[in-house]
Amino acid sequence: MKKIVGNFGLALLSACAILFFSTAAFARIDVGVIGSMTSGLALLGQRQINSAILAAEEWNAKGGINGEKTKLAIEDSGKSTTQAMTALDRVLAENVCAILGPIYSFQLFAMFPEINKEGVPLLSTSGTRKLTQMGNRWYFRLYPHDGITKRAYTLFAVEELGCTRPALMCVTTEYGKSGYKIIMDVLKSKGIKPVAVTWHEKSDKDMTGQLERIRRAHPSCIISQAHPPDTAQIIRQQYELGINIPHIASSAASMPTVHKLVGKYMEGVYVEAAAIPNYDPDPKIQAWTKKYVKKFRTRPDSFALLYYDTANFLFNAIKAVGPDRKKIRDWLEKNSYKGLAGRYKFDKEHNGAFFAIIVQYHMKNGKAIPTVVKKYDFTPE
Amino acid sequence: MIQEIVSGLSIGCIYAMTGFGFVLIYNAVGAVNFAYGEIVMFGGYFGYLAIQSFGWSLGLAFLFSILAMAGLGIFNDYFAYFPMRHRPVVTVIIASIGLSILLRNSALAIWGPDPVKIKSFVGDQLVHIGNVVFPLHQLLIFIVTAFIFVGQVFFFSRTSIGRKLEATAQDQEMAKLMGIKVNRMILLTFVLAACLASIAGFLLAPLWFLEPDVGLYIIVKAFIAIVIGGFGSVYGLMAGGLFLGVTEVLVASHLTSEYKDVISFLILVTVLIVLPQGFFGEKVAEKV
Repeated sequence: MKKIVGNFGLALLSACAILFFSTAAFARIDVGVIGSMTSGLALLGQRQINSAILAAEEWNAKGGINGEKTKLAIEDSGKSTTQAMTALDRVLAENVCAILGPIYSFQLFAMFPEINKEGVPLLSTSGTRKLTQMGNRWYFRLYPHDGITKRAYTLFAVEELGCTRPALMCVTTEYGKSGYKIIMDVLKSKGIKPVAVTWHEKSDKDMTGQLERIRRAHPSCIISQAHPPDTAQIIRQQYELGINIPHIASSAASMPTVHKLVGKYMEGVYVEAAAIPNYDPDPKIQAWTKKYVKKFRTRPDSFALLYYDTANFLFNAIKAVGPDRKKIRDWLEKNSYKGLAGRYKFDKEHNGAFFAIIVQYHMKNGKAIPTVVKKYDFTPE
Repeated sequence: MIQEIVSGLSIGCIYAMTGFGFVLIYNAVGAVNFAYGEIVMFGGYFGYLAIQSFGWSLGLAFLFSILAMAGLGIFNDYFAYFPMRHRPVVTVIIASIGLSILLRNSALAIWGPDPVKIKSFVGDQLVHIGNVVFPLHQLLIFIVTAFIFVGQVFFFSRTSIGRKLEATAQDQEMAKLMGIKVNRMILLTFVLAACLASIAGFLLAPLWFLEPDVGLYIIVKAFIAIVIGGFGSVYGLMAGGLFLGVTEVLVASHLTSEYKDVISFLILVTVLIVLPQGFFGEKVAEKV
């Protein structure tokens, strides 16, 4: 009898041990990652997903978050709201504790009702101003929104370059329209009215019409608000058409891809950005960029760097309060984080980054090299 | 104004260049090939592949692209047309849409989402004539388009193969009775169209860049140009392309840049209502 009881006890102990270790082995924290991996929008999306992967691998290599490994549920939001919603549904089916979202505002807007209903924190690096003006407590932005960056580059054009006759070139997407409004507000506050305003589709391949309209208005500078391919067209054609006035471009012009397309025409172009990972002298950023290039064989852009910071901010939140959606949200609202690109602290609207830089590009040995010409910090007191 | 017209003509030439192969296939099989934009895109991408991956010169890359595109033309015929040739036209059109999606996503998988460009055969010099400035590459576009246009007219009207193709386009059954090997003629058409796409791809890549979505953009514009000019007509295509290119630039410059594409589609709708057969009518009316 004793033997039977002893054997039973041993078996029970073994079962408990197996159960304990297997639970520990399979315990994990599920985090959703949604970004454009296909279509032309993958230009920004894939680099951001890379950043999330890098951050998660680093945490896992150090033993995970509180001993639990992080598993990323990565889904493709393609180029439409439909694909973004499908991606969201798939990620939510994995019972994730938070989501690192896409950069594109039209996809984020579509996700908001579901995010509110499910009560899951959604973090992204989109710049569109309106995103944080909709009272969504579950959404967090970790990129200086257009209200910061557009204000910075418009102020730079007016105050530093003395541009009193600006011409605006904007893309017809939500990003372009949101930026246009902010630029106009800043110009109005300075008592300036643009001498010409032109619009173009994101897919437009020729800007001659828009640039000729601008030429006739005799502006003293061009301020553009566009996506990468159209930004490249604008800069190249401005030079080709001989419109020799300063060009202050939106952050798309800081992307290495745009430099490859524009080539020598990047000389002298001013660009607003949140960070310049490929040329920042900070050793930590240099080391990160090197690691990123080695792993993904592509150069990161400013969005990728800030997405990496975003992922780390989120993992710190999970470390502090566990994988509880509401607790993560509350922790993010109250705490700050010092990332590679800067310091993040959310205001009431859930905007977390308030820094912006203006760089000017010069051609050196066939490469467009940026130099920081002005730094802006609009962090609320 | 002259500056705008010159740029508009250049854009129109690219639309026309895209349309040449499109019309060729339409005339041969009686169905629109919506994959043709992506085929043009691949013409450029094959050149980019040869330059970037193999380190070949622009000339060799162009030859490589022509050969690779001939292969793609055969693929197009055997996989997206030949198995469906006895089915309703709409089946062939849907197959072409499927091929377009396949090619677009293949380009994304192979070359990624980043736009890329290939250098022009004439470099990036600018030409100054009075107050008008344009890249030398635009001059190349004018010359090549004119050459292809004349060549295509000559090919169909003066050569034996051209006439066989024309006969195949007009009535396949009758062509068979006349001893023409119809399937071979159609295969030749797909190969020729793909080679023309290679030229178009090389012409647009230095100015418009290559990206997985560029094919969709150009096929929509080329399609409008074809409808405006008259379905199936090479003259109409040329006229429609130039008209559309110049109109787009003038509208963006003098009327509205925000709604210039809306104006293009309004023109398309107006032409369809007022002049359903386009500027130059249609040679094979029963294929509408």
